[in-house]
Amino acid sequence: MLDVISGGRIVAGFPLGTPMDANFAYGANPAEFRRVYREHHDLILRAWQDPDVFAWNGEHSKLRYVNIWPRPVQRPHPPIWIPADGISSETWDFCAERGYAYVCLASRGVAPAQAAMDGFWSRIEARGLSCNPYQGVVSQTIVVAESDAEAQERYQPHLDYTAMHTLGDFPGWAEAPGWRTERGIRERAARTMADLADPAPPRVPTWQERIESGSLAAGSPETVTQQLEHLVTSLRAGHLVGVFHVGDMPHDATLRSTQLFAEHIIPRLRHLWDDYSDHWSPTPIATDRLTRTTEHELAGVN
Amino acid sequence: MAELKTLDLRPGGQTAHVWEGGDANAPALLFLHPITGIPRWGDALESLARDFHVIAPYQPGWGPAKDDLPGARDGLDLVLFNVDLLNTLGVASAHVVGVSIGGWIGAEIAAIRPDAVQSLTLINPLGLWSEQYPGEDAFAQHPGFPTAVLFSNPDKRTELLMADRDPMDAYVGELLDLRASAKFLWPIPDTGVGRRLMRIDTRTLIATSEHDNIVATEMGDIWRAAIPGAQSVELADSGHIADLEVPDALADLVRNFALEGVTA
Repeated sequence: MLDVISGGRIVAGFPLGTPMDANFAYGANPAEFRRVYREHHDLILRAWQDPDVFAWNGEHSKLRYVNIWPRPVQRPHPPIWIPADGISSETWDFCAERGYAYVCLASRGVAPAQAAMDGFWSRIEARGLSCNPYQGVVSQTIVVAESDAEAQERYQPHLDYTAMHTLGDFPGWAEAPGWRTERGIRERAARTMADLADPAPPRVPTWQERIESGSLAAGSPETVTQQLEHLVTSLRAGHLVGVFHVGDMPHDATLRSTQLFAEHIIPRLRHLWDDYSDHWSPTPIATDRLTRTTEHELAGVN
Repeated sequence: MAELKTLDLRPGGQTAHVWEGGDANAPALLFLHPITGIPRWGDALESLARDFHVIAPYQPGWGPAKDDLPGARDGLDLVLFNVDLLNTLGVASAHVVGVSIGGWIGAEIAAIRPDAVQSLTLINPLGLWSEQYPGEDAFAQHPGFPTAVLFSNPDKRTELLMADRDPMDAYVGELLDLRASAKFLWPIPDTGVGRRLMRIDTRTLIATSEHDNIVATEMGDIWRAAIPGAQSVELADSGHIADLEVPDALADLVRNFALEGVTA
């Protein structure tokens, strides 16, 4: 429906969901979670593309009649992006096999994002495919002001608020049994066995630590342009998902920061990957066609 | 000493991984393991094997049967797995002992196939839910020590469950056993067995552990009231995984009840 209303401007994100929301809050059984995810992924893909009514006799869902209406505007279906938090070789393979865009988060810094994206590209290369940057997506928190000093003064309190009040995960909800596969458990435990047994106490990072780790893009337009250019070229990411609001940041400050980004930074970044074709952005209906269709339909109604 | 066997149960059916020990001519005893599976042929099974032909299978999804989880959808599948196993071994009926999630499976077997059960001992059984006595959530635990809450003292996880095993393999096994348990107990350990408990006509003993964080001792009364003629006792000095924490007391309890009908 949103694809129709927006004239084909929808990106379909298929996150697995975290244990905290999907399993503990919504009650989905983690032991079967990935099997359910795969089955429902297949169901949605078929529902978008099969022009006929069909029956879905799945292991987890049974639907005698599948007949979605309206159908998506984008053909064969909206682009699919898969967000991943952390390093999961299974997600790399899933995206590489299916040709989906892989989304990594820079919220823990450039180094973990780099490791995640390098892993994805290695899976693409292993299949003999082209590493088209537009298949890589990075999400980053971005705050822009007239100067670096002003950015810190204006936005640090809101970033600290976020760290102190919105990210306090209860350790018991960090994992749900079965949420990770055996392969996933081994990969994670191999990296973090010591941390699991003796976790470091949570701490609010300083402004400088955020900048140095790359978990935040912040400063003047010039500074942020350099930070983001470094981020997207290092990761070979053709899409940048900007997070422009954090915690208790007021509306006017968010608008101001976003406006500076739009006016001064986007123009300097948008041509970085001009040598490649973007197959992972929405393909909206041309505005003139949309208008004509609407006028035609209205005439018919009247 | 016992042997870990791999058996094909029936054409097109499942493969069973089962510890078998004791004299094959002694009374048969089916041991249904807790959430933590069977980390080794331990002291409780060794003690029981002095008087019983002990049959201790890994339920589908646990230990070496970790990849069989998708084949078992519900309690009925687990009942059929255990009944097929007894048939394959030529055992017409057995004393059934279930700990933790094994208590639920034992109760289901007794309700559905009473002819296969000579006596029923349920130790810290899961499967009934009481809002008044919910216990700790076995699945919402710190990922560094996922099963510590199942023991009366967190150090006992290291001592009794993880010891003598490769740390990585033990940790992965611990999480995969929890995964199998979650398949049947998520998000609330109410399996529906309460609707069938009144069908049980086998003599039944319910034991709850003094320091069980998961199954409150009060749950023993709820189980006893639901099963006609059942008796209940309390196991001292133990947490939820009683077969690892108090193996001798558990074996004595089972031996006295199954063979002598004594609950003291």
